[in-house]
Amino acid sequence: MNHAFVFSARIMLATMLGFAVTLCAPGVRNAAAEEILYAQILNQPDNLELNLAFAKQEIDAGRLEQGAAALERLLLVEPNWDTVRLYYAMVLYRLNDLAGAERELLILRGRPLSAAHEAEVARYLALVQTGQNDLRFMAQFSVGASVADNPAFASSSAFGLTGGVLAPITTQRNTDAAITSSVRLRGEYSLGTGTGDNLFADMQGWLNKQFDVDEADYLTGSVRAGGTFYLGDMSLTPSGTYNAYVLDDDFYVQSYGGGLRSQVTINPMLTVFGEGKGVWQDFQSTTLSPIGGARDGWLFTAGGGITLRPAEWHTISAEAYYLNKSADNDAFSYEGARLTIRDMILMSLGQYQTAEETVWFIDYEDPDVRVSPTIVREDERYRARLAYGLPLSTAFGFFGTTLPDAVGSVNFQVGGQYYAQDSNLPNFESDNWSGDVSFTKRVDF
Amino acid sequence: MLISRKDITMPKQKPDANSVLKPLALALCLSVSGFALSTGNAQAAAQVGTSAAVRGDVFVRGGTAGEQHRAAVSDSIHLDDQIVTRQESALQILLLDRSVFTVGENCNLVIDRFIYDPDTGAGEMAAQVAQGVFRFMSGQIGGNNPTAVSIETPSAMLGTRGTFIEAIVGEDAAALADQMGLAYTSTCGTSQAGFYILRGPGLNTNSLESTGVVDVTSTGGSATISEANYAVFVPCPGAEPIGPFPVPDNVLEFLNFFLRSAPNGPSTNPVNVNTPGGEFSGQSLFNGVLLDPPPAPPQGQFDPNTPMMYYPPIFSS
Repeated sequence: MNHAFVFSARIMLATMLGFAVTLCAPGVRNAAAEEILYAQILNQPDNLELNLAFAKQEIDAGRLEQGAAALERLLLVEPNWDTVRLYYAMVLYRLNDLAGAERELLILRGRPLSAAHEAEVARYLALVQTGQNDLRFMAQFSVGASVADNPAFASSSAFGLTGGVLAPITTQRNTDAAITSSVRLRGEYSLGTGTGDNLFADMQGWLNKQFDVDEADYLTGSVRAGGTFYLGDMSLTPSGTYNAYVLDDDFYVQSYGGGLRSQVTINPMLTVFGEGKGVWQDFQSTTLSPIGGARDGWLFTAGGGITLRPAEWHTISAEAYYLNKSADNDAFSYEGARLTIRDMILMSLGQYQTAEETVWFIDYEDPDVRVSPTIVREDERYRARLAYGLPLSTAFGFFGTTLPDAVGSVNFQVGGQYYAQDSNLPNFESDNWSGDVSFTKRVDF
Repeated sequence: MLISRKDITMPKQKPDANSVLKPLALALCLSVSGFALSTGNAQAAAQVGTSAAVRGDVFVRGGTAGEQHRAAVSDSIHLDDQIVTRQESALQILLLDRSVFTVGENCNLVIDRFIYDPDTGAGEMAAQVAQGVFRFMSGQIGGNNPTAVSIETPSAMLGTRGTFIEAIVGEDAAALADQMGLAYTSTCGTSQAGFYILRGPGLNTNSLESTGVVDVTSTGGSATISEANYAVFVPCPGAEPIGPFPVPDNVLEFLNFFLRSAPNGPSTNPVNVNTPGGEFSGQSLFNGVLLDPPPAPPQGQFDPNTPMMYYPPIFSS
């Protein structure tokens, strides 16, 4: 199997799909309006219409500070221009000057505004006030459903090996639906050093409950705690992690360990990072998997990547990791690599689309005698995912309906995923197409 | 060689930036070099910026002749002009490189070095603030080379990167420090104290602006602020900077009062704009809630470890 060729072809396909969706995305790349030059502002600094248009131009171009200066100038001339004060407050919010934004929003709270502007004042005032707390929390809850054509990853091969003997595989691909849910709770505490140093704890949980294919049911949770410390443009994040995975009501594996991530901001458009992590994996025997402790051992991952933001609305990241698992039974020890590319595009009114592709190359150390006493397993695993999401306020807004903020801020997402595994052992060749929808609500407090 | 703004003819069509800025930049280079070479009256009054907004009593004392005039909107600001504001007054200056100085009441400011090439954005800028309240937002010069911008106050030298900062220089700074109960030792009275605050962009900015950093350096030491709304206090020349610490509310209120406007009458909308704030500011771009993809299956989850699942019973272990 030519891994490199297959990987390259899949990367190209995902990239092409991503760009095709991008080109069709509405409201992202409009033709540039006639540019207002800075020299015009120097000539007419008190021209209200010109300076307001210049502020919008600068904001759209990503030059927020220039936009803020223009709005500030308008407010010095017209201090009762409440609409412009709202725009100024929100630009300060984007610049993360939360105290500045709060001051403007508190002023606006007592002013006569339209209902839409009043709702924005209330929403962002809550955000800036919680954002200034030394101890801040974010909670995110999601519920949805999925459909998959092979959720249990049944082998796609007609024959497999058992004890080295080729035998028919009576595999059943069963299309099934599932209820899905996830929660996330993150807490951050500012250390007050003036450099952004903070401590954090991040907890996430996923539930997948199939209607029929119970062996694909899972419940997983993870906790990660650590701190981020800034040294100029570099940040260091040491952390400890714990993860537990329950498979079809059986406790399957827990892992605990830690790692260190180092990130350097080269410029606002380019960030590079390196990371190393080690976790001890503790497997249990289950009704579906009696192997149990033979898989126990350390899993080390080390690698890095880059994040590129060619525009405010566009983020591309690529990462590569080396994997090394040392299990009690070397049939389950492996070496390998994981490569990931992600592309995220933000569109107007909170819409977004994401494309992600991950490839794993896994080479085991010893044969698994239960399958074959002579063939050492080699796998290539591949996952591609596309997703599109938008706030409900935007979705209903397309039909002219206004939702209360508590409902309108709920995010709707639809996604599709392809997961495949190729192996030199036919037993382990499989793939699965799935689609999912979810509703997600985020709360900051 | 003197070049005044009057000598630059604005074309009837929309002006090209370079046709305006380039000759001015060249004039600045010539005037500065002229100043470096001569000690007499050969210093040229080259323009460094424009008065963009004026409130109250603001005066500009310019050139070697020291003539003073009341500032008005669209007035040119020149190299070495001394800008003085009185009670309840404020001025916003737009510099040629897109830097912005906003000064509040009782402020005394001089821009004493300004070299700028509009084609490359390179240059140097230095300013002195003897007293008062001010905000500075860096432009092209600082964006291209943070070390090329410096602001000197009696107690400290400020170096900035991609940032907007605010400062209080003079007795008010000492009074605010006393009000917040800050412990410090002053050997120079209160007139040279300074409060220096980084306003942004903060670490969590969702823009492509560089996150702000300000270095506060005195002969007694230095301190760096890289988190928005943190402050450093320097009580005296030669004193060690105290901080950074979160900017206290009394300092914020002081800055807001003197550097920002507040409504003083009924709501107005001179240009009749009603775009939602999220749309105008671009914040709505970031209002989606991205959901992480489902976790990848752990090792062995889908391996046929129990052969009877997949094979006829005669092959089960």
